[in-house]
Amino acid sequence: MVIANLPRAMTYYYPVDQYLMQRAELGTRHVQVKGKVVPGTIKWNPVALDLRFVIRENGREMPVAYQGLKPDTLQDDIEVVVAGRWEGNEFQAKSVMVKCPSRYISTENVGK
Amino acid sequence: MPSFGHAALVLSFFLSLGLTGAFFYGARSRHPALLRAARTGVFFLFALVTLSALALFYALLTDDFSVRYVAATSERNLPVLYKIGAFWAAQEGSLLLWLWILAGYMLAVALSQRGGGRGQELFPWAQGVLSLVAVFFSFLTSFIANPFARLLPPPPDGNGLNPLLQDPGMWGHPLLLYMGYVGMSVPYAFGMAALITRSPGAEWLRFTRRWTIFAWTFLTLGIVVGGWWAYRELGWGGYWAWDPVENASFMPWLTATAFFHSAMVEERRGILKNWNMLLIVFTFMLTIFGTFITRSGILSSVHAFAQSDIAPWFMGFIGLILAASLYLVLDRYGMLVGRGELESLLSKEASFLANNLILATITAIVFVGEVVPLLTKLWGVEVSVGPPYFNAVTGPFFLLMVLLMAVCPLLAWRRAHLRNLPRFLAGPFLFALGFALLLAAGGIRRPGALLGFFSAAFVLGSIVREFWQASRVRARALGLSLPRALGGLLVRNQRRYGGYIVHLGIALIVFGVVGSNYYQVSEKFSLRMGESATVGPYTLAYLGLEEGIRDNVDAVWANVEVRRGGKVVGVIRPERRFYPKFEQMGPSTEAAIRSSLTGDVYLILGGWDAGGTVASFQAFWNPLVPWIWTGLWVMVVGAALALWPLRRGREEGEEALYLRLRELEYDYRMGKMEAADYERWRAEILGEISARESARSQTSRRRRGGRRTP
Repeated sequence: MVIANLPRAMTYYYPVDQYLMQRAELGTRHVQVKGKVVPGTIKWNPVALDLRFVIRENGREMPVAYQGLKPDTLQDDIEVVVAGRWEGNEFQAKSVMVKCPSRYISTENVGK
Repeated sequence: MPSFGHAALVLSFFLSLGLTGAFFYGARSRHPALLRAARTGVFFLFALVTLSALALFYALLTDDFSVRYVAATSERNLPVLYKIGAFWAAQEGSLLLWLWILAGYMLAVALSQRGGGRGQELFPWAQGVLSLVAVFFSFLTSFIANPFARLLPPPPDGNGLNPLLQDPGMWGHPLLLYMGYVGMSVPYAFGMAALITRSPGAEWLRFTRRWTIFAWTFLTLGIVVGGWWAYRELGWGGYWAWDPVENASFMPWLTATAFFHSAMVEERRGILKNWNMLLIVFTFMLTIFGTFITRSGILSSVHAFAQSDIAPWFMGFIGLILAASLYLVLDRYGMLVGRGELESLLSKEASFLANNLILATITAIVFVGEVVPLLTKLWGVEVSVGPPYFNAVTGPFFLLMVLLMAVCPLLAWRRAHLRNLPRFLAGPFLFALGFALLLAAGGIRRPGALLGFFSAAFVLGSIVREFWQASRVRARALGLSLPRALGGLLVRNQRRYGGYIVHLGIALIVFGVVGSNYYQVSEKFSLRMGESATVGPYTLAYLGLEEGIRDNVDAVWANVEVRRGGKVVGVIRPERRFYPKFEQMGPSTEAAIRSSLTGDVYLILGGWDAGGTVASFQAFWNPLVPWIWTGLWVMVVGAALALWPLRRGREEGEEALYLRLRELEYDYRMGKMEAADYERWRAEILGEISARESARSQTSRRRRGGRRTP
């Protein structure tokens, strides 16, 4: 049961560059894409609950739109995984997950 | 002061090295003076680590930013409570906390040792094993992850504590969890001692059962309080996400739960010895693995593994302990083969065995989901294993587990009365079925939810039946009133009835988990002042914004009126806080929660326009979530009843046999076993009692005789 379910349950992350390359064949399939938030691209309209930002991986960039609250931890240069599909000329995210290193914080980089 | 704290740590490292040697050598060569000295040494170890911990508290409370750890986790403006909590907010401090709690347990073990008695030879070996664990943690904190490392020149202020960690839940969670984690070292150490000394009996389990339950209770508290923190602070409306750090604490809980259930079987029936030994080894491994995974930074990126100073040491330690433990288990395997056997598949011990298999399966599922993403990362492929996997795969097993909890109290040890069982089950089953039908009529139609509610109600019904029947039988046998009979049961058979109360708490938690999992409602909306929106049974009206100071930082909150069924039930205030040290995160979320018996309305303030005339919100209706926290307290009460030393010293020897005799009699009168079985088992216990009595009178006669002839 474990073995049978695992491949189905594991979700592959497409890095931004790979996703953009395979976009034609993936069409509007629901996928997860991983990248880093390009500094200065976060636009958040708190009244309309409209969040936009650009993510980048291996030199390729992709605009992301999301309707909802901005996660506290979403910030420049942080790694995020967005789940959703391509719509029009941007990635329409159903969810934005911030890979949040602060939860596993180590003090490695402090004071250096 | 910092150098003083570090010096105390270094000394404690050398002392634990010495203690390891002294305990092992002293035990091997039977050197009582050396062992006495080592026991005194344990006291000094605790004193040294305590001094070191106090030095870190002192540095945190006096804003001594020349200590790198203080600069990294605290700041002048932090509320005092969180300055204290910063102690365990990051790696170095947490490892020191581990060591401190371990030294505390070691001291408690040393104090609990009374001279003489069976199995006393286990103590020095177990203390040697505990000292060895202390060697590892004092080594790490002394030389690899030193909490007193300096930062010179000291910065004018610290980096501050991550706002997410500034919450009472996060204050208590690590403390409680580590009390649980570290506590598991005690049964592990005694298990190893039993292997080393080739003591085949269940003494090590008898010595450590209180320790195990104690540690397990804290582990439970730590996990649930962690969920409570996530629920209040992370702002996504949930309490459990199958996140790797959560799984890391859940796995040892699963194996520890399996362990103390099957330990009861070994104590009573002398079977499952090898299985128990493996379970405690894995439980201990998983506590170390959990500490490692949450504190090494390995989860944030694979590269952290290479950079992390502590990772290779942890891997080495885990490998070493695992190899040594498994070697001992395999080498002494013959000793671990039980003498008894399972008499019937319809018995309490068989149901415990089934519980063990289910728990082990769930652990394996979680472990696979935890480790696969780590492994594939090494090959450069990133996958995520998320809630869909865990919920889908573990769900059926959890359901089985809960159903088992409903049947187990109605079964006797050894062999249950087959023909009576349907009659026992009928009441609780019909109660649960009726409850489920009522829910279905009320619009709860999702099969998973109905099954979950049904099985939780089944557990409630069967435990209530057990309490009712047992009190009635006892009342009749002793001519007592029902309440007095019930009170007597609780006091006299604390372990059994405390355990059932724990199960009641779990049933409540099941209600909460099923309700919130299947029927959460989430809404996003923008409101003008005076406008309202609905979520679940509530209507929320936006009254306007206010600003002020909360917990030493600027905050903005919305006043939101909550109505239910047309009646105003209160005003809640979701906040955004502006932590100056964490500006890049944006204003941080403080959710507002209003609880009632049926669930929580949970509100997050998204943002607002310039004048505050319009604000946006995310709202959740989380049905039955408060039942989870209530269930936790019920579990703690049950565990406390099982642990409380009401009958100190009466649990060994004949007292224990008389207790079993009474339990057997009540179970028989409740109809749980057949008459022939009852007579046979009663005779067995009586035989044991008289054997003990004659043995005792012989030794006392011998003693008296000795006095007469000097």
